[in-house]
Amino acid sequence: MVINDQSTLRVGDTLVPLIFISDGTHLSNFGRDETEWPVYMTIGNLSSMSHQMPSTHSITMVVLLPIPIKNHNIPPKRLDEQQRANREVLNEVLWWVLQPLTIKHNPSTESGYYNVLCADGNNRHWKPVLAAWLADCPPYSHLHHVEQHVCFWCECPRNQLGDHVPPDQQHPRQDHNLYRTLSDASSKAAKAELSLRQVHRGFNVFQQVPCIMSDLPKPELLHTMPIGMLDHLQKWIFHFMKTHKLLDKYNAIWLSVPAYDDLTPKMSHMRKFLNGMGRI
Amino acid sequence: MKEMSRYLLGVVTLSLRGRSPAQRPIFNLPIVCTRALFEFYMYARYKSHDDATLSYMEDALHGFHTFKDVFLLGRASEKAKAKANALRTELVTKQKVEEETNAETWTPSKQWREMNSWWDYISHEIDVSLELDADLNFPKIHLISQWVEQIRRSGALQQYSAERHEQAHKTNLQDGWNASNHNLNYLPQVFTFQCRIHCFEMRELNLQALAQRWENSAAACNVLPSGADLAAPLSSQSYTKPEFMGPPNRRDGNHPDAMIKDLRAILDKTQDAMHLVPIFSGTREFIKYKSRNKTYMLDEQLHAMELCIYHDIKVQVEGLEGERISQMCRFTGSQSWRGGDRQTDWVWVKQCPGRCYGVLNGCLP
Repeated sequence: MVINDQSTLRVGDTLVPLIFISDGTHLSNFGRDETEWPVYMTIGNLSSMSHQMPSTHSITMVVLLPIPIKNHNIPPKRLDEQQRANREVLNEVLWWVLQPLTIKHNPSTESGYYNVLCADGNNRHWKPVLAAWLADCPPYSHLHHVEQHVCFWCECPRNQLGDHVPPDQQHPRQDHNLYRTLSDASSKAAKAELSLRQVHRGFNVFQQVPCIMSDLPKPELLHTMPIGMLDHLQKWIFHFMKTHKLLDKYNAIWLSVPAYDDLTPKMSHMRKFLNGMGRI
Repeated sequence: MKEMSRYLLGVVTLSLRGRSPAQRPIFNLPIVCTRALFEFYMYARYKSHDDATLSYMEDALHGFHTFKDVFLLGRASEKAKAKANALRTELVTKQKVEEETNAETWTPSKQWREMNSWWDYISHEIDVSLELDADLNFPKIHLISQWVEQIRRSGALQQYSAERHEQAHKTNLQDGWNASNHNLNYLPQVFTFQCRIHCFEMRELNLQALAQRWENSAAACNVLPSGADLAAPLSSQSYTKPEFMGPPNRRDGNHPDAMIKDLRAILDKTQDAMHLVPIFSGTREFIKYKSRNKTYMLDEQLHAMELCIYHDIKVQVEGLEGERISQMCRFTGSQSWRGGDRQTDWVWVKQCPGRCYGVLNGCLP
């Protein structure tokens, strides 16, 4: 983990990398379509073993982010305006959460340090640092002020996303310091430059926090591979089978796969409606 | 999908196997492509990496990108499909015109041949048009190409998996939502519920850590803290004579069934002094089979212990705004508690110092 603050720490201080996690969740499909968008927090000082165990309660919920209204309720004319307003609200809320971490105007030597009683009974003088923000791909575009369907590590043009990039020919990494200066400048050229780099203008809370912004997103295994790429792959294979008229054989083989552990969830506690839902 | 992925490669290989030599080049491509992507996924899940595994990952990804074009047809967007349909109508009208103009000169067999070649031509044209319009430009396919560099920067990917916080959704929000009345003001209810559960579980963790520390330390024969320190007893009955500590209903199922039955019977009648004998024998059984500390315990030592039984405990916790709330947890007797295991009494045993510390220490049901 690259943190440039390490040099300012004194002997005996503890650096606490804060890891934030935000992910939407569905509460109910019925009625009002309840969805929540919680932000969890954990620290990087825990071992990953105890961090992954649910029984250790290593993750704390800190805030529920506001969920914008759905886009299809908005007339297309006002869509841009609404999206800008959504971003502003989101950043304002996050600013309240991250306020203790933000850059102070007149920093003293003690600013940013806290005395905390730890679980082992010792008092520690520690400094929290924003180290990572884990989220799925679409929420990142909201948090990072980049446009949708754009990589958040590099400035890859949208029509080259599918190309293979050898490690020595990577696109230039995102430079949020540059974006910040461009965003503050109100000239037309700066505006054009920003939209060329697929970045939105406006107040972004992460620019107020001392951190390396392009390092915040971490590669997220679950959403990218099993329910991202492998899901796509499975759809493509389905289409391939369909075009070559092999779908029956493909389905038959799937049906013959034995039901192991979790492949077919056991529904013994659910009641079966044999005559349909209407006639109970 | 995670479970499905274990079988996908096998199923694809099986359903595309045994083709004629002419078909083989096309039908092998999806297999190669699927295998490369899975290889990449398996490498990405490694718990530690070195240069060799990272270069394997690179190679696997390169393989995937070389052969991925076979799936282009499946990526055609709605626009591309509409365009292809327009092309099809155009070609079909052309074909009909030609059919009508040559209807008199062609023999039936020639007509049949011509028609077939027309259909082949049309389907080929449409495939080409679809493939030209389709692309594989979506963010996730690009993100995985950055993984090798990211692993070099910030370590193995297993630690960033979302499985942990998908699980946190359940404990933090969904359980609370299920327990709420689903009205518009459900959020305070969810928070109260979550706060309560969280407090109890943290208390349990703390107690476990405390017990662990005492067990490990040299002064292992300290007296267990009396009940009042940890939980405020509301109604307690203490016996100056010897009894026994509530049998832990462990879920591992290692102990004989008969014993559980006996001890349950005991539990329901603990307050009755007439049942001291079964309690006593139950305790002996517990020490013999279940206790973590196998030190032999004399009967006299057992008799010298003080016992408190609590029917409910009251825990002081901090509320959302820092105020003190006392949460109460009652025992449920033989009924189940919230659909789970039943909650039995809490029993604290005050022990004399001695080497038999921890003999009666078992998990609280």
